[in-house]
Amino acid sequence: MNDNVLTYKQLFWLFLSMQVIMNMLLTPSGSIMIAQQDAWLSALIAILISLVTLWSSIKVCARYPSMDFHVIIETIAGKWIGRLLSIFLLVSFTVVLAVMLRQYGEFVSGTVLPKTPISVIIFCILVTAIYPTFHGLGVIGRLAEIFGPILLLGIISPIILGIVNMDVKHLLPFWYDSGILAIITGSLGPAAFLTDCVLILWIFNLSEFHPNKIKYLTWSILTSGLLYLLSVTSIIATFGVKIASTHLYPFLILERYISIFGMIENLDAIVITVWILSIFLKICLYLFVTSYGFSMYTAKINRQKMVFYIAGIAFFLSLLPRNVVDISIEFPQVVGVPFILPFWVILPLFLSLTIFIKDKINKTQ
Amino acid sequence: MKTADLHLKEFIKSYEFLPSSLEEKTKILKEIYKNCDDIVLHPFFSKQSAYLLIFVSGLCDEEKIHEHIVRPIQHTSIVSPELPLIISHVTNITNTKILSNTLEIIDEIADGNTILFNDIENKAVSYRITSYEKRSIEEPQAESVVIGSREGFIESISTNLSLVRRKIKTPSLKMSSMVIGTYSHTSIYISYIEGIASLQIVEDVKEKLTKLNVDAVLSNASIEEALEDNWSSPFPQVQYSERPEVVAAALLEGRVAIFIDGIPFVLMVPVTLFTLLQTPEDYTERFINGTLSRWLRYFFLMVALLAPSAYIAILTFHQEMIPTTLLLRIAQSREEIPFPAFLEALIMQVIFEVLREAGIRLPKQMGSTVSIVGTLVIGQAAIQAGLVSAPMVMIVAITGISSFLLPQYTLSIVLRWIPFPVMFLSGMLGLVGLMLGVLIIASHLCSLRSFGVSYLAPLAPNDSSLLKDVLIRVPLKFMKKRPSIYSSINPNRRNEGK
Repeated sequence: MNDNVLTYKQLFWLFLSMQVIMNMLLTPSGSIMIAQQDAWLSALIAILISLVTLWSSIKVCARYPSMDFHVIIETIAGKWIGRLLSIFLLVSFTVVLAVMLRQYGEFVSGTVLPKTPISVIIFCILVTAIYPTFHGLGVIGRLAEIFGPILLLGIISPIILGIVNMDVKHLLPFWYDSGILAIITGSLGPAAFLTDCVLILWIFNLSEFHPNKIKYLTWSILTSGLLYLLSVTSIIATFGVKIASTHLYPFLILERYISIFGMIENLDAIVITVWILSIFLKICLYLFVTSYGFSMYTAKINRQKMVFYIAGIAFFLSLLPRNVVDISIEFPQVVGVPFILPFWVILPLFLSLTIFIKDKINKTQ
Repeated sequence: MKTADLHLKEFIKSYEFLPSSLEEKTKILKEIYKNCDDIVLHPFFSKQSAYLLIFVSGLCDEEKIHEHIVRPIQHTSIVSPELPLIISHVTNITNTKILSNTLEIIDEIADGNTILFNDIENKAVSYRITSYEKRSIEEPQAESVVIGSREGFIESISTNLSLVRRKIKTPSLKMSSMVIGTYSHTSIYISYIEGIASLQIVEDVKEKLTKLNVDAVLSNASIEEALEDNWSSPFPQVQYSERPEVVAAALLEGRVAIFIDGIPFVLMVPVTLFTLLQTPEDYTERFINGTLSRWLRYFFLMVALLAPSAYIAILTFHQEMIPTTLLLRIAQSREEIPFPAFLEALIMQVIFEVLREAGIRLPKQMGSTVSIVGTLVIGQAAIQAGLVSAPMVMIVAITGISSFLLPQYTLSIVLRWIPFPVMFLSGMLGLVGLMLGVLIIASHLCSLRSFGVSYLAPLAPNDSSLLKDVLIRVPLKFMKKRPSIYSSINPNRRNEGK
């Protein structure tokens, strides 16, 4: 049974909860290292970039509301270029899915399960993610709706409980001499995570039509960006720039400082467990979009079978990197920021501009 | 045996309509009911003509047959033996039917009706004077409440129908009947309120039941399986109740109830997880109490599902989470235990299940034996022998008790074994494993549907206007709308004019 329809509320929770954790965990230290205490300005720029991407993606889809993306892109860019671009996009999603799996594996093995082989950790979550993905987008959406609020609680409560450890002085002086270029460079990391809202290209027509849909989508990206801003600010305020930039997962360290009544401490295992929800939803959504997308190009393999193929490929790819440096530092610097990020931002921009120009020409005629 | 059965079927088919002569009719009926000694064929005469009565002894009130059918006919002054005339002028039974088809006649006899034949027509009259042994209406056993009605359904379907009809008196309450079972001919009633229930669901139920092809409906399981969308799911997709007011409330929400003859439960569809977690008492108590007991139920649902797994995960992988003094206590009690936490929990859980199962199967008089063995062997000896630690016994006991908190038995038996795989995952991967277990269960629940209604509605897909009867139990005066997840035909619970 195919159950692929999302409500607009599910769209909100899905995009919010799938973006928020990976971004908070992985990008602050890099961003802080480059932009120093002005990293929160980088966060603002990242939000701006992601909103531009989101809006141009929505423009493209809203112009052809009942078409699948592979049809839209062929209508706009011509058969062969369109097909090429769309397959590039899907390949980029698959690669990011593999990277995500590996990063999850490194994160879990580095924090709570040091003795378990990474391949086992990755395999377990992948198998779990196949179940809802196999059943369809509707199931993923409902999961997001249930777990989204819990996740939000799991993010905001550590920040609130950690307020006692914060000191605003760490955020000063404002506009440090790193300069505007450093701030923009620092924004690229979080922007790469926030711009994966480009996934909407593939699933926009699968969600119900509702006047609030675009508003809710914008809010979900905005909320996820603002939560990132909040986390970066609280990380700097708690540790200062020096310490924050040297940790791999500064947000986790922030949470380790928490103590309730002097008795409940070391909550990281619980918090990590809650965070897994977000990573899980992200894996599901990527797996869905890639399997859905690729199945459009293969006549023989339907979407549900494709889930297994993509999962297998992603699992294999995720085992290729040698260590955490490869995946968390090398990959973003060599592939992520120079190739995938610009592709994700420029593709929808290009498509929406083409539509804009085409419509203009049609009108004058 | 099959040939004999086929032979009978063909024999009945060859006489689609009975002949008019009484003698031939008797011969055919005797052939059909060969070796059925509980079928009574009673020929009798009035002054002018001959008649034949046929009924199943034990299903009819023989005194009434004699008083209201046989005697009036014997003493009548009306000459013509025509059946309509007999019904209207001679016999004094009101619930009658004129039949001509042989198969129909056979069905009517099996239902406990009394059939009268005359010597000139190929038709028959069926008199409904059923009276058979049945239980009196008692307090429900599986669904007891402190405050509320004490009536429960019984095995007789007509009594059950009347119990609901007494609660909802409008003619919009429809009861459409159907016969299922090649051999059992069990009668089934599909009940709904016209103008509230979604017609599509009603049609869907009818279609699914019509398709059902079984020998006999001896238990509710065959009907339940026919109604389920996903037969492989461990979670129940049909709600049972033995309380008429629960069924009435369900009908008023726009759901469909299915009555089965011989089963003292009524099935209700569609179902969501949250309807299975409601009790009738939620609505008889004050709303604060109702809300709190509902929260308690949700909380202990989680405990029943996750307590042993969480204990295993934390003890095996995340000891740092436990406050030091508590950790020392636990460590002390586990010092001599030879098993890892997972195995220890597994042993205890299995023993608990065994005790629970034994408690159900044993005759009542032996019940105390189980509890003595349980307390002494498990509670005392296992701990003293150093096989199981005391905290683990506590955890397993709490888990067991929690699963009894759930109002639907079908749901609580699922919670008996669902924790085992989650325990295994937690033993392997700690809290991460626990979370994966939760995610699998949640994904499964999200993928379930019952007649198109999501199993987790109204939580997912989220409908905030309905959450007030799920997260809390608001005072009844604020529940002005029917749950829109079942039907949107008639959304208001209040009469607009008043």
